[in-house]
Amino acid sequence: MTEPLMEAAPHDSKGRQLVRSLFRSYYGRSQSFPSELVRREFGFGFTKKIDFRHKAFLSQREFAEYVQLEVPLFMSYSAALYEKPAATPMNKKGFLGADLVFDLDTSYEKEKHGHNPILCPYCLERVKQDCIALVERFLVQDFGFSEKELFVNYSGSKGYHIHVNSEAVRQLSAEGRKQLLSYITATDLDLGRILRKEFFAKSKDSFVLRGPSARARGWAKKLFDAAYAFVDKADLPHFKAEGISVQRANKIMENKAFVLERMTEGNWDSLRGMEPVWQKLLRKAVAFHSLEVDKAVTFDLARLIRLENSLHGDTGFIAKKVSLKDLPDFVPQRDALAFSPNESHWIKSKVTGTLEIAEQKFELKEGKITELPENAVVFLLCKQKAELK
Amino acid sequence: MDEFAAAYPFSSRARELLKSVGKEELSPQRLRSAGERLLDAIQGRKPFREQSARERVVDYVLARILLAAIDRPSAARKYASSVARAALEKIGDETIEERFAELAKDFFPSVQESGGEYVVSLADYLKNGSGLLYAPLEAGKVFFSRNEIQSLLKKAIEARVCDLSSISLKTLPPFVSEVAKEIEPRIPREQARVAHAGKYLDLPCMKKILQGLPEGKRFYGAMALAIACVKDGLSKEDAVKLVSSYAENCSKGSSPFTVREAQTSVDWIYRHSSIGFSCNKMREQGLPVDCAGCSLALERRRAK
Repeated sequence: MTEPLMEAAPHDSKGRQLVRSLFRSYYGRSQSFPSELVRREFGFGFTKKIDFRHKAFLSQREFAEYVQLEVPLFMSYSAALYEKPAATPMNKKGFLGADLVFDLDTSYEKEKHGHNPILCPYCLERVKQDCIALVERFLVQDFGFSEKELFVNYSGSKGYHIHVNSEAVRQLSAEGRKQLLSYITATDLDLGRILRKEFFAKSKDSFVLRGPSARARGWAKKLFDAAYAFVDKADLPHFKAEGISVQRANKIMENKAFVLERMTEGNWDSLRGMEPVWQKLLRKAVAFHSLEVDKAVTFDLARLIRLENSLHGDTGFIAKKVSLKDLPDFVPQRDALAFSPNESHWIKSKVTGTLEIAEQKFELKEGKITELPENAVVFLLCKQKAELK
Repeated sequence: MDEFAAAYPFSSRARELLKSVGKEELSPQRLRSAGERLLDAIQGRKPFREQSARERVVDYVLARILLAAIDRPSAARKYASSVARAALEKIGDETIEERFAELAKDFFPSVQESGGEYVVSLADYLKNGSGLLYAPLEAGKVFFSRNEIQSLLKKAIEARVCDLSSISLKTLPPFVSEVAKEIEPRIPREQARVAHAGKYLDLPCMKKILQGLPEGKRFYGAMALAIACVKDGLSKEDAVKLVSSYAENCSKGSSPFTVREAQTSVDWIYRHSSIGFSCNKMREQGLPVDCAGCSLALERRRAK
């Protein structure tokens, strides 16, 4: 078969050939298939993430043969299931339902840390922590999915995909999916609806401040717990850190038991003038609990998502399926490597900096020719930060 | 005829019975009479005479056919609201708990009642409910008081009655659109609320646009309104409200002009707020420009 889409970069055709031959050898020994493969639409990328889509396969064998022959740099499949996955335009495919998928790939570059622009372990760890929070705090605790219905997939680059494999959600409309996103991101959460003034007379000061009680559920419960824990545990420095005056902090601490008892009943007005304090605490709790999610991946029912255990053409890392049990200890730059640690190649670096991979640190200097292990070489070639010598 | 189905013709149980409503029911005369009931419902009037259960069911079917032909979302919404209100009032009147339970189950199959609290699965809630962000959600279940589930049910009934996508006008006889044309002008127009109309929003053409436009002109209508809002100094929030209300008045055509699309026009115009208001552009786009009695046209003529 011809390869019209495989454009070898003229400046580094040797590097691309090496990457391609290593990708081919990986797919020779390891192939992964999505569930219900024949109902899925596939998309492949040779020069970018998706060069073409609307491809379908009648069997795992046909798919495996295609991958072996073409060796795409990127492989994606539809979260949706179709009667005719290869049909175009989209409305001719015959939509049957779609898995629910969340994509986390928040950039933490601006957070205070020694960011490594080549490959940043800190940023990868932060997104993993978001992934754990999404699973624990939202998908299991609030949405009630069982751990068996969930699987996590490292994207092969900066983020994670969380798949919900449950019949109950397959028929969810884009609108329903948006509601889940709105819940997770809490961007539209109006604290005025959580903490509200209940007027008992016409005067503007004649109100009781009502908030969530100990029996609350959903976001109201998250916010109640946060505020309750703060009042219960905070000491003067904590109050000060929140910008609460010493006088007010002392008043709260002196009346702690009374304040907490009232809060439990949903009365947040045991001490007058507390509204700004609560507002501040609740805003902080919202920022702590909410997560940033790539929304389009979840609500766009026509979206293609990276195939689990395929290679990512921008890193050469495996888009590895990770069990929830293994997720806390998962380190992509150690556990998602596809190639031999014993093979090495000479490269000329295009960047200066440190590459941390496979629990080793390599110092790179622009223009310098260095011998590096295969995984590091593939990573740098895919990132176009080195050329093969 | 099944009393439940007759009382709640939008329910799944009624769907079976509705199959018995044959094409012979669809005569111009019968359609006109259903049109009168539709107007009664929209204007909140009780039917002039008592109707049999069968008549009520057939009326419901024909009213929705008419609404699809009339193609005005605000009319469908008003009708749906009236049907939902009547359904829930009925439950209130009869205090028949089983009826409420059956109706609730029709929309939320997982609903369960325990100690005065109603529990609905998250998947069911997402199909028919809105505002999950404030919902009392825990472990995949949403909890409601009786009043809350009743209001959720009302919204779900409205959404089902309002959804006319299953009605194919192509298969209906030509007199349907004729009767629809007779009924349509008698349905009161929803007045878009203008926070503080100024020079531009007060123009006769803007008032006309606000009443909704047909397919092919809806987008430019939204843009023209958004420009008028900017020029009149409306806040973006008020402009969104106004243009959303316009979107709901627009005809649905082959695909509805969504509130989101309308809001996108406002977003764009508010980002490019220096854009000018042009009667010529409106005319070019086939929007209803009426220079007779227009203060802006007069002003421009004088300036010349």
